Amino acid sequence: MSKRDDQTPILEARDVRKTYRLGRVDVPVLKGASITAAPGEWLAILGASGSGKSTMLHLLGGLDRPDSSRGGNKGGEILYKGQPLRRMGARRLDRYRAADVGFVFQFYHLLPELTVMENVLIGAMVLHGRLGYRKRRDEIRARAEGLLERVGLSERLRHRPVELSGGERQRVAVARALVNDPGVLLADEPTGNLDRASGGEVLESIASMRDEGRRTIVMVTHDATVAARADRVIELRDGLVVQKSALGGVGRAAAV
Amino acid sequence: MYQGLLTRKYLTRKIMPLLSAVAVALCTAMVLVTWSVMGGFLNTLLTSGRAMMGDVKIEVSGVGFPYYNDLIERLEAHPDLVAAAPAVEWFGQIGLPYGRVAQAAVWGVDPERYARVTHYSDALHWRPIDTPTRRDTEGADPRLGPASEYFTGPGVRSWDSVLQRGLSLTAIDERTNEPVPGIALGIRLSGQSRPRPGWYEPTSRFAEDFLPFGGRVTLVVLPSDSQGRMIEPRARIVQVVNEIQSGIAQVDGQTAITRIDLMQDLLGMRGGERVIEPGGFRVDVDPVTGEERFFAPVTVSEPSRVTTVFVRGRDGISLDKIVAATREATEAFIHANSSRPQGGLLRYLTLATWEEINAQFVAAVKKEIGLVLFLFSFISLTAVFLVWSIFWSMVNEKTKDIGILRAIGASRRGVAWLWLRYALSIGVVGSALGLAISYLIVRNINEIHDWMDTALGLSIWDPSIYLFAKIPDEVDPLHAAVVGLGGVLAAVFGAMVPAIRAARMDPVRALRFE
Ligand SMILES: Nc1ncnc2c1ncn2[C@@H]1O[C@H](COP(=O)(O)OP(=O)(O)OP(=O)(O)O)[C@@H](O)[C@H]1O
Ligand SMILES: [Mg+2]
Repeated sequence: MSKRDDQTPILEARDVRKTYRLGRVDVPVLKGASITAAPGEWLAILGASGSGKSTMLHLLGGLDRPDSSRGGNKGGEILYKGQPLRRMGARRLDRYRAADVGFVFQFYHLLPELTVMENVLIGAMVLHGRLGYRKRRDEIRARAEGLLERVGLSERLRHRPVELSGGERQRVAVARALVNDPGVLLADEPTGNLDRASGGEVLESIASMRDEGRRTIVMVTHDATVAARADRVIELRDGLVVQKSALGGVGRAAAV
Repeated sequence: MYQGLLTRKYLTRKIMPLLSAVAVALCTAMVLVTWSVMGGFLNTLLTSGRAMMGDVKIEVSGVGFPYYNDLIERLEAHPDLVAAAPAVEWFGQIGLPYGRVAQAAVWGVDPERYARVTHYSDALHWRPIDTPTRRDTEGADPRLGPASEYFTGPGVRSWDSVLQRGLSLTAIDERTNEPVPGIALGIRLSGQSRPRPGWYEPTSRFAEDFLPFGGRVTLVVLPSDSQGRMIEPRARIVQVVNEIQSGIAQVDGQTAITRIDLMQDLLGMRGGERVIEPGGFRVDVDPVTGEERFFAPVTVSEPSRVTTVFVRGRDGISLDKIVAATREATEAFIHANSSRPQGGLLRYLTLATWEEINAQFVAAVKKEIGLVLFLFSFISLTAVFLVWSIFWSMVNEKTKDIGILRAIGASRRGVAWLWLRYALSIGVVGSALGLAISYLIVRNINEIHDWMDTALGLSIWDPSIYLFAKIPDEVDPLHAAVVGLGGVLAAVFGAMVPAIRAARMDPVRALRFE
C-alpha cells in the first residue's frame, strides 16, 4: 500500500444531509454527518434505532443520494477514492455497486429461488454480463466455492436459503458481497437478527475476509460489543457523527 | 445473464407464471384452431369446387353451343392447359324406387375426358377397398365384403367391375346384352342410409331396387331446341352404375352424372339431319340465312351442341394464367366459327372459375373468417391483461429481490430486461403449448366431433349445411407462425408496464419493502 493510499480515505461522507418527506413534513435524518474510512480500516457506526445508520450506509453504497444541493453543496458529498458519487453516471454507479462495494444486510436478503452457490454467483453475473461471465466461469466458480468454504458452508452449496439457519444465511450474504472482490464491505447490522453465537460466527467470517487489511469494512450496529470488534467506532446521534475511540470508547474530536 | 437464471428459477418454482402461460396457450390455440378450420374450410371450398368441374367452365347455358370439339382442340393445344371436356348440364328429375322423385342437376359427360379434367374417378364411391375407412371401426362397410352379395346384374362380378362401370358410365342391357348409358347418382340423392359419417349402407339388398349398381331410375328432362324453345319432356329409364361421393354436399346431394350422348339425345342436342315439318301456311324466318319464306318441309343439318366445356390448367400454373389461356383459346375459336351455321350462339359463351360462380358464397365465407379472427384476436387481448396483472403482482411480490439486485449492481435496464425476458419465456412456452394443443385439436377434429356426436349428441358440423363431409384438419405452418408470434408478443406487451415499474423502483424502498 502506498503512502498516498493511507492518507486518502477510500470512502468518505462529507457533511451529508438526508431528508425524507412524509407528506408535507420534512423529516431530516442526517444533518451534516461526516465519515471517513481509511483503506483497510474496520469502521463501526454505532447508533440507536432510527438514528439513520441504514440511511448512511445506503448513501455510502450509492443506492441512494444525499439531498440534492439546492444552492451550493447543501446535501454534502459521498466520495469514493476522492471521487464524488454524485458525478458518476448511472452506469458507473451500477458498476460501483457491483465491483467496488459489497453489501451485507440485517435480513440477509438472499434470493429465495436460488441455491447458496447461485446466490453467490449472481453477484458476478450482474457484474460481468453474459459474455464476460462465460469467459471467467471457472475462475468465478472457484472463487465462490473458496469464499463459501471460508465461511464454512462448502457442504451446503446446493441448498436453498430456507434450508439454512440465520447465521448460515448471513454467511452466504457475506460470500455474495465479496464475490467480485470489492475494496469495501458495507454491513448493515449483520448480527442484528442473530443470537450471540451465530452472530459471533458471522463476525468471524467478516473478520477473516479483511484479507490482511486490504479490505475496508464499514459496519453499522446498535450493539456496542459488536462494534468493539472494529478498529474504530463512531456514533451517529441526532443526524450527526460523534467520534469515539475504538479501544477506550472515550469521546474524541473529529480527526478529519 | 442473471436474468436467464432467475427466469428459469421463477418459471419452475411459481404457479402464477405457469397460469399466464396457460392463458397465452389457450388464446393462441383458440385463434389457431379457428383459423385452421375456417381457413381450411375456405381452401377446401376452393379446391374441392374444382374437383368436379376443373379450373374454368366455358358455357352457354340452356341452348348450348356447337363446334365444341374445335374449342377443345384449341384449348388442349395451349401450353398452359392440360385437358378440356364437353358436358351437357341440365336440370332434371330422377324417379327413384317406391315412387320417390328427386330434383337434380344432371350432367352428361364423356367419362374419359371428364376424368382427365376433374377428379371424377376418385369420387366414385363403390370400388374395391382394402382397409376400412377412418370412422368405420367395426369394418361394416359393404365394400370390404364380396361384391356378389349385392347384385345379380350381367357383367358385374366384383367391386372392381362396379368401379369400371362407373368410370365408363356404361351398363349392359339385360335383354340385348348391349352396352347402354348408365347413370351415377350423388350418394345422398338416393337416400342411402348413413350409419356413420363417412360410409354408406345401400338402401336395400334386394336386387330389383338395389341402387348403387343395376338398380334403375327414371331420368326426366325438359328439352329445348336450338332456338331455346321448350319441347315436351323426355324420359328414359337408366341403370345406376355407381354413386358419387365427392365430399361436396351440393354434388353428393343434388347431382347425377350420365353419358353425354344420352343427354344430347334427350335434349335434341345431337347433330345431324333434321326435318322441320310445316305447320300450315305460315311465313317463317330461315334459321340459316334469316330470309323470310313460306314454310315448307325442310331438312336441315345441325351440328351437335353442348352447354359446357370444363377446362383444366397445368399444375403449378396460377388460376389467373389459366383463365387468360382459356380466354385466348376461346376467342380464337369464336373468331373461326361464328359465321358457320348456328355460330351465332357462340356470342353467348361465358367463362367462369368455380370461385366466380360461387363468388357470393366465397366472399361471405371470407368475410366470416375475417370477422371471427378479429373477434378472437380481440378476445385474446384478455391474455395481455392477464399477463399484465399477474406480472404486476409478481413485481410487487418480488420487490425485495429487485432491491437486492440493484444493491449488487444490476442496472434499471437489466431489471426491466429480467421481467421482459421472463415474459418472453412465458410467451414462448405458452405459444408452443398453444400451437401443440391446436395442432392436436385440429388434426383430430373429426374424431372429436364424432365423439361429441355419439357421446353428447352434439353435431356442430352438418354436411348438408357445409359443403364438405369432413371438417378441415390441416394446420397451415404460416398461420401457426403468425399466431405463435402473436402469443409471444402478447405476453411481452402484457409485461411491459410491470417491467418499467420494476426498473423505476427506488432500490432503497425496495429493500425496506416487507
Ligand atoms: N423512505 C423513507 N421515508 C420516510 N422516512 C424514512 C424512510 N426511510 C427511513 N426513514 C426514516 O429515517 C429514519 C432513519 O432510518 P434508518 O433505517 O436509516 O435508521 P436505522 O438507524 O438504520 O434504524 P434501525 O437500527 O432500526 O435499522 C427513521 O426514522 C425512518 O423512519
Ligand atoms: Mg437500519
